[in-house]
Amino acid sequence: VPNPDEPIADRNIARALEVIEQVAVQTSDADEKRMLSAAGSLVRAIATDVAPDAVAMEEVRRALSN
Amino acid sequence: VRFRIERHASSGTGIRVLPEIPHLTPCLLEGPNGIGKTLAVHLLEIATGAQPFLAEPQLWSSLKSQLGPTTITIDHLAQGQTIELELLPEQWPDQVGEPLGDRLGLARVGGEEVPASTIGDLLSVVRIAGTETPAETVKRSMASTRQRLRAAAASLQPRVDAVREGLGELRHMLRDLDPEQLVRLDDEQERARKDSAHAAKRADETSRRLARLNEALEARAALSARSEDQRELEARLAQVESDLETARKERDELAKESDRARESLVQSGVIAQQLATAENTLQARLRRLSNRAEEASAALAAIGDPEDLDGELRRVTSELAAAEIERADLDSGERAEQVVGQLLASLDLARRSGLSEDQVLLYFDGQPITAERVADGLRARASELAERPTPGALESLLARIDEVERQRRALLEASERVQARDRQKELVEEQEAEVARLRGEIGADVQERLQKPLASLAAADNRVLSLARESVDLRAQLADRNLASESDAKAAWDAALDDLQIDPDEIETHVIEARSEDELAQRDLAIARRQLADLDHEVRVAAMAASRAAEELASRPDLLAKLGLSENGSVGPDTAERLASSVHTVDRRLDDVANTLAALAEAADRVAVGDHQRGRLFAEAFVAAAGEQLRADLDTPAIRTVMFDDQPLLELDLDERVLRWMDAGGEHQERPLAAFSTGEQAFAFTQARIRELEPPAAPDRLLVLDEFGAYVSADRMRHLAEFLYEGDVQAVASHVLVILPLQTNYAAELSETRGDLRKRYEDRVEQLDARGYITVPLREAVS
Repeated sequence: VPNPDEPIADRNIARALEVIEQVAVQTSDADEKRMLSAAGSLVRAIATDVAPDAVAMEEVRRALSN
Repeated sequence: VRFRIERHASSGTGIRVLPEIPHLTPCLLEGPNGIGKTLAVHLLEIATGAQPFLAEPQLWSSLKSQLGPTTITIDHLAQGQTIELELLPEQWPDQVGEPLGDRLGLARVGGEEVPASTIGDLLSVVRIAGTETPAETVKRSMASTRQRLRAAAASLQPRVDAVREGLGELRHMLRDLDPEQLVRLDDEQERARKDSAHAAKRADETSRRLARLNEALEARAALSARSEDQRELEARLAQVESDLETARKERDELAKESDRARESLVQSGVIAQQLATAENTLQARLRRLSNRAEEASAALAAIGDPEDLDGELRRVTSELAAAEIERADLDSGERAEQVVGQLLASLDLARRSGLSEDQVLLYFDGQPITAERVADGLRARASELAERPTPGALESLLARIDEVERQRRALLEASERVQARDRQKELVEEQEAEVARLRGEIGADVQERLQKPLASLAAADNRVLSLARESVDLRAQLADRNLASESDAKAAWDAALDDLQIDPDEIETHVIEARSEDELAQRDLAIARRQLADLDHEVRVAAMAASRAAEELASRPDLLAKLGLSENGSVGPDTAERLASSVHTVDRRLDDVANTLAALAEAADRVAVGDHQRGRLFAEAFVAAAGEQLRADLDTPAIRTVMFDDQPLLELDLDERVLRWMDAGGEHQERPLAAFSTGEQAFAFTQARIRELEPPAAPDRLLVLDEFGAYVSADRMRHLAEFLYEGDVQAVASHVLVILPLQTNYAAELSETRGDLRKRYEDRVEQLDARGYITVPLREAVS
């Protein structure tokens, strides 16, 4: 499971996450907000060192619980 | 710090780079365009981990391909180290945003090899372009953001693919379950239900409208045709009722006649009854006669069918009488013999006493019978008696008598039967006469008189009935017509028009259209219902696929445990569908990562070029976010002081490309970004940006003020120099380099100068001759 507090070493990805979060704050469109939120958490998960299989299973589990 | 940049012999020739920046600070570097001043600074930025080409990816590609192997040597660092960095552009990424890392080249610090990416730990380079206005800051920032987003997407993609591969096994199990199809089916089924309901409603409406139009047509037709139609009906009714009256009269007459006939019939009925009785009697008698005749025939047959029964009977009677006499004789022979003996004795005695022989003793048939003759007769008899039959003769006689007696009884019985038959015959004849008589009394005319009126009465009844029925029908039709009376028909017509809201002259057109619409609506309804049925079938097929997938999943408890499904009991089709949907969701989210980053990069690119297209994904939110980010970057105390009346910057509106703040007097201020492009504001902006630099993490920082030529001509160099010598600047940069274009033709002006100035010019000419550019302490330039 990715640690949300783990710093992102890749400066581009860190900047991308920053932009995603800033835009998510600004948008009033529910679809955009949902898409940004999902993309942000998935980018963070993928950017960490967690094994891709584990990320995949965790994402499915999350999708199931939703 | 001294920087030396050495391109090796095999380096490309398309670009030029300054070979050296001396250990001077603040240092003024002056040189003509095209000698690689800015590129040298950019190389130093790259060497220390920055990426100055984010906003200009095409320049990056050009640099990568044309720079060739190059060595940068940096010495006079604060901690005394020497950095040697051999750049290897062929290893650099093609994408400008992609991190260089150790692909930068080969690095040594103090002669020891170190990762190239660690150079930034010792030195940082900050380049501020003197021409960069707030508008250009926006452009640079957005271009940089765009590149970072693209680079992030590029570096994430392999990992996204790996995560997607991690779903492979699950995806295989759920291969027959297409979540998009399930969602589509749900949606389409729902839509098809709505469509079907809508089509049904529409069909109902069109049918109703068509029916209403037809009613209107009927009302109009009733209005136009009612009078003539009613007259015809009334005339017909009058005729029918007249005929009915006549028929009733005829029927009444016939009824009377029939009554009379009936009376006759009643009377005839008495005789007929008598006749029937008589005929019955006759029949009974005939039956009895038949019986009697049969009995007589049997009786006659039993006695041999004598031709003359009476004669035979008489003969047998006589024979029997004779036999009886004979038997009586036989039975009285002994006594007769005594009597005859006694008589003879008496006669003998009397003759002896004197009776004469001639004495008449009796008369027989008037003839006198003398004693002699009586005596002779008695003697003859006595003799006869003496010779009477023996007992055997008597037995034979008795048998004969029995036989004759039997014959006689048979004959008597036969005779009685014949007499009975004959009596019955007489009775039959008598009854036949009676029947004939009664038949004669009834007579054919009576029958005829009965039949005719009855037949006529029935016909008359039928006719009356038929006419009455027709009359009732006509009255009903007239009643209907009366209901649809002229006023009623008019009201119906008006109501229909009001309801339909149509021009009455165009009703036929409306009917045609309505019929067409109704046909279309009915067809659409049929199509909608068929589609719904098809979808129901597809849903059933999908449900079967879900069941199969559930069975497959149930055989993999390890996988279910990973998904947190093992504690929820059995895996059913619903779970399989949810799982397929979840895998699809994850797929979509993985797609969304790239799509989101691409859309954000697109938005950044559009902001960078000032093309804000609304309606695109994230466009408006991105503009707001970027505006807020830049506003925060600019809303620093130093920049507030020089640009915003020392007041907070309230808004950077990237749509309008204006800055908004409230001045000290409370007045709202608004100024386009472009208004800060020249003059004192631009200089102040640059100063503010330098002041806002954070102290460097690395021990050394090179601050480069590039493209500052505008300040020289405006005689602002002194102010700039004074600023750069301030402690504030010293705190954020250990080394300062100001780059200017070549300010003058020093060689040409050498003859015009004297003293120290001449010496400085001679030195500059020497530098220009030696390496094509000049480096001098900044203070010297402004003294």
